[in-house]
Amino acid sequence: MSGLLDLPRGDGRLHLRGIAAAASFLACLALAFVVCADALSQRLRAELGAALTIEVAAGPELEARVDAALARLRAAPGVAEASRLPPERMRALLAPWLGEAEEVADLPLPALVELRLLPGGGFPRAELEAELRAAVPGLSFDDHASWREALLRLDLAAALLSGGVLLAVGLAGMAAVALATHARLAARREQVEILHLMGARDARIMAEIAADAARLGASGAAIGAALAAALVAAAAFVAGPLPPGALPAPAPDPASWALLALPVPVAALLAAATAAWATRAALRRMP
Amino acid sequence: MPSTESQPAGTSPVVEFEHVGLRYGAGPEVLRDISFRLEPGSFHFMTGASGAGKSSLLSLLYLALRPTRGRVSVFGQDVARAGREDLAALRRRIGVVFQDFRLFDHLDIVDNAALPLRIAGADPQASRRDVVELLEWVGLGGMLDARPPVLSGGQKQRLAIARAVVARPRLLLADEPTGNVDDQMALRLLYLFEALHRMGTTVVIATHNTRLVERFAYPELQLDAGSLARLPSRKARLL
Repeated sequence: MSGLLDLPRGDGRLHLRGIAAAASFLACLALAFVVCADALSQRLRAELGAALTIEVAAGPELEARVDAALARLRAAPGVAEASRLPPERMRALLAPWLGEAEEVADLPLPALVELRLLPGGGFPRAELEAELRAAVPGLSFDDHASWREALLRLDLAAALLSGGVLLAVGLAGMAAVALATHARLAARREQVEILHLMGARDARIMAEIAADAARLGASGAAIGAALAAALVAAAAFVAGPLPPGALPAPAPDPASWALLALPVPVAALLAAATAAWATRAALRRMP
Repeated sequence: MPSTESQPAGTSPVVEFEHVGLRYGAGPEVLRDISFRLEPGSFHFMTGASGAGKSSLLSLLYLALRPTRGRVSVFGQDVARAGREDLAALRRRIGVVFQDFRLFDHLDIVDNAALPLRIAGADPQASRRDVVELLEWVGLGGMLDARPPVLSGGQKQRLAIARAVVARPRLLLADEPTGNVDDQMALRLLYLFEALHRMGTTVVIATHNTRLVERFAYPELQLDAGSLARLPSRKARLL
């Protein structure tokens, strides 16, 4: 016999463990959603923040204006690469909207220069934009600010949504674990009373029942977390690998996988606290 | 057989009731104005018809209930003033044989009997030999791995008695401890209680078994409709 009560297997153990597993499974999925959405948003914003598109309007001496802009850009600090988007690539990009007719080739299209910035900054955007606007007629900068702002708003909305889901799942899980622990204690009430009448200290009875509840809560939550992790891994496997340049695969990074284990200690602590509280309340009703 | 009444003057009683009353909720008093002392090493039978208040009085003695009036003192400590830790310590000095046994069905016989020792902090391995010896004495030595659900009523009763006495309590309270055993086993169990009594344990046995009460020369705490009368032993009364 390991403990004072050596609480029996069966009757209520599966109940508490199953509820902890279900709550943990849902909480892990919600956590995974938060982590993946945040990772996706961060990566997109990083990619957008590291690139600029410079448009040189169609018109006379387009090639000379583009060359002048490219020369100045390549000489600027903080620039990793500056290159003109080839006309055939532009036509390919426009093909879904304009078609591939020969007339399209004659359309006066602007030239686009893709600028990749070095990480760490140092690119004098404002000064260079003013200088190039003055030197190259018809030139404009597009730093994707509107996209980045939209992504930020999307990121915030996703965080709010997933935070709400996580909160709801967490609270429902906590309530379920607390109820299951309470029900389990009700079944143990007579044993608690006998131990009390035999002179067992309140703290010892509480500790034993809390430890038992913590073990059940943790083992159930571990099962739920493992199932959720398997599901997330399967989803990542189905989604990836994606071609270069496409959106990143919806999978947590290695450090974030550890986050999926969070429901295990939370469930253990919650079950233990509920059991200790309920046992204390039951003991206090005894003289 | 040791005397149950003659105690050294000045010895503090194991139990002292002063004008104790008990009622459940808003109901009538089930115990009325009870006053008595149990001297150290005394042995009493508690008798009375069903409903007379024996179980209620025992519950007050093993500190499962608090009186609604009067003063209860156990081992010199006023129960009303004792803290929870103090009450737990007092309970560890009391062995109880419950009428409904209150065994732990998921524990085997040895673990059930050893429970008071574990509560007192004894090493289970070190105390196992004593526990097994006691179980053999009450006739359960051949079924140490069995659990209560497979035991007969008499076997459960003997296990409950073994659990109550295993830690050598200073006060032993038994509620109908021979209700489910034959006369021979009843005698054997009474001898066990006497053996504890000889070692200084104060014993109170609530029983309907008049044959036992007549056979053993111990005084009675006789309850009648919630009132207590303290009587000399039946043997003494018959003389």
